[in-house]
Amino acid sequence: MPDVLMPRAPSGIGWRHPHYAAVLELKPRVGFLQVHSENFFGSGGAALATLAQAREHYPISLHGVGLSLGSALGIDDWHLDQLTTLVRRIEPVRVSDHACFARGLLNDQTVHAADLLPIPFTHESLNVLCANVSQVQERLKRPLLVENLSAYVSYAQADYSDAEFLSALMQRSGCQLLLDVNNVFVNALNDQAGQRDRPQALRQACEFLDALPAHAVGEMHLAGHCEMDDIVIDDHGSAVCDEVWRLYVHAVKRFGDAPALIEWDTNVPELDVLLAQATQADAVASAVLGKAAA
Amino acid sequence: MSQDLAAAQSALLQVIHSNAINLVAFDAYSMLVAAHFGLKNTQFTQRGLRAYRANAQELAEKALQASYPVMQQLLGEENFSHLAQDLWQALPPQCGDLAQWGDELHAYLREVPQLQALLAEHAYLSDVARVEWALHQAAKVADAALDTASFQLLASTDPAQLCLMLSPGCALIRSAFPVVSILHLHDERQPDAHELAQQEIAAGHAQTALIWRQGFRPMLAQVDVASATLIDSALQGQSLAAAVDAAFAQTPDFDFSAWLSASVKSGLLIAACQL
Repeated sequence: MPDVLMPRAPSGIGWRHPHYAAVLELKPRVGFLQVHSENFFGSGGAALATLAQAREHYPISLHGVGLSLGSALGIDDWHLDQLTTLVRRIEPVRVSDHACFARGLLNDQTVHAADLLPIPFTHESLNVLCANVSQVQERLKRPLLVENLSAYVSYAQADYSDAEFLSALMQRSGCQLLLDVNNVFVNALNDQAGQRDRPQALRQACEFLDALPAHAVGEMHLAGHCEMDDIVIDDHGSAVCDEVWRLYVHAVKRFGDAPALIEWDTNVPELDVLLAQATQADAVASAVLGKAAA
Repeated sequence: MSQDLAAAQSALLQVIHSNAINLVAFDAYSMLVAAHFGLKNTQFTQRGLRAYRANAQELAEKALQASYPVMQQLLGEENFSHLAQDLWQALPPQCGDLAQWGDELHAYLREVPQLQALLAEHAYLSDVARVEWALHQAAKVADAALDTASFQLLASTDPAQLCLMLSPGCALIRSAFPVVSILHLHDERQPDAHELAQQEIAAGHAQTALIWRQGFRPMLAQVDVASATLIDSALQGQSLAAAVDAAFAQTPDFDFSAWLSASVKSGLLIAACQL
C-alpha cells in the first residue's frame, strides 16, 4: 500500500498542571501527552495518580530534564531508579532527555544545576554521552530519544559540528533524535553577531537539519521563544513563530511524519490555544505529506 | 571519569553558581574562568552565562515556593526570594528532582549567623519550615488504601498482638510555638479556621503538629499530648496495648474510643494488623 494512504497520528501537547483537570474531563483529540518525568518521581500521591488516569486515555511521552546525559560524573543512580520505576508504571510511548549536562562537582560536592547546560562537541564528550545514554537504555530496556539543545554559550574546541556530533551519538548508542525545531532556530539566531537576520537564521537552521541523517528523528518539538535585544531565550512561553513553522515544513520534508509536540511550559495559555497549535502542526505536516490526520 | 571534561563542567557550574554581587563583577569573574576552561570568549558568552545564572535564581525561588508557600507569605516575596538565593548558594541541589531540594531550610534558618536577627523576632519560622516540608513530603509518599475489614481485629485480638497502621506521610512535629495555627491562618482552603487560629496564635501556646494524608491530600492538625504519644508509639511499630498504655500514662482520662473513631474518619488510621 502506498505510504501516502496511511493516516498520521495527531500531534501531542505538553501536559502541564493548569490543564490536568481539563484534559481529563474534556479528553481532547491529541496524539499523546508529554510530561516532565521528574514531576512524577516519588512513590505515590495525586500527581502520579493523575498521570496514571491520563495513561488510560492517551499515550504518554516521558520527557526528562534532569538525567544529565552529558555529565562526566556519569548518571545519578537515584535518578535512574526513579525513572525506571516511572517507566514501568506508565509504559510510555517514548522516553527522552537532552544532550546536556547539569551534574558536576562544586567545591568537591556533587551538585545538580537544574538546567540544560551545553557540552562540547569533542571526542571526549561524545564518549561520555554515548556511555551514559547506553547505560540508561540498558536499564530501561528501550531506546532513548535525545534532544538537541538551545545553548547560550559554546566551547572553543570542537572535533565535530553539532549535527555531526548528534549523528555520531545516534549511530554509536542506537538512540533517536528528539528534534527540537525551535531550538535549532534559537541557536541560529544566537549565532548571529550584530543585527538579527531572521531569513539567514532560517537558512542556517535548514542547513543544520540537512546535515542530520534522514532516519534520525523519533519526535519533534515545536515551541515559542523570547527574543530580547541581545539574546534569544528558549522559554517555551509563547506561540510557535512563523520561521519555526517554516522550519517544521522543512523538517517534515526531510524526516517524515515523526510525532510532533507543542511544548508550552511558561505563561501556559488556555487549553484551546494549545490545541489550536497542535491542530496547526497536524495541518502543516499533512499538507507536506499529503496525508489526512487520523 | 573523564578528568578534563569533568574539570570543564565543574568550572562552568562554578561560574553559574558564582555569588558575585553585581553583573560587572560576575562578568569579569565568569570570563576569566570561562576562557580558562574552553568557552568561547565573546560578549555573547558573557550574556549567555548571565542567562544561565538568572535562570538558576528564578528556579531557586520557584522550587522553594512550591515546598514552602506559607514561609513565603510570612517573609514576604522579596525576603523569601533572597532566602531562596542564599539557600541555593549554601546548599545547592544535589539531584535532578527539584522537589527534593530545600529539606534543610529549617536547620539553615537556625545555623546561619545573618538570619539570627530574623529568627530572634520570629522564632517560630524554623518550625513552620519543618511542618511545611513534612506536608510536602507526605504528598508524594507511597499510597495506601483504607482496610476497613481489618478493624474487626480490634474486637477479636489481644491488643498486645496488634498494631495500628497510619496513613502515608504521617509525622509528628513538636513545637514550642502555635505552629499549626500559624499554618492554618495562611491556608486559603480553610477560611473558617482563621478566627480560631488567630485566637490560638494570640494565646501563644506550644502545639504538636500532626501531618497525614487524607486520600491524596496532605493534612495538618494539632494533637493533644496523649494522642501524640499514641501516634508516636504506632509509628515506632509498638503494639496497640503499649501505645494505649503510653497514652493513658500521659492522660489518665484519655478517650481511646473517641480517638479511634475520629482517626478512621479523618483517614489517619487506615488499618489494624497483627504483629
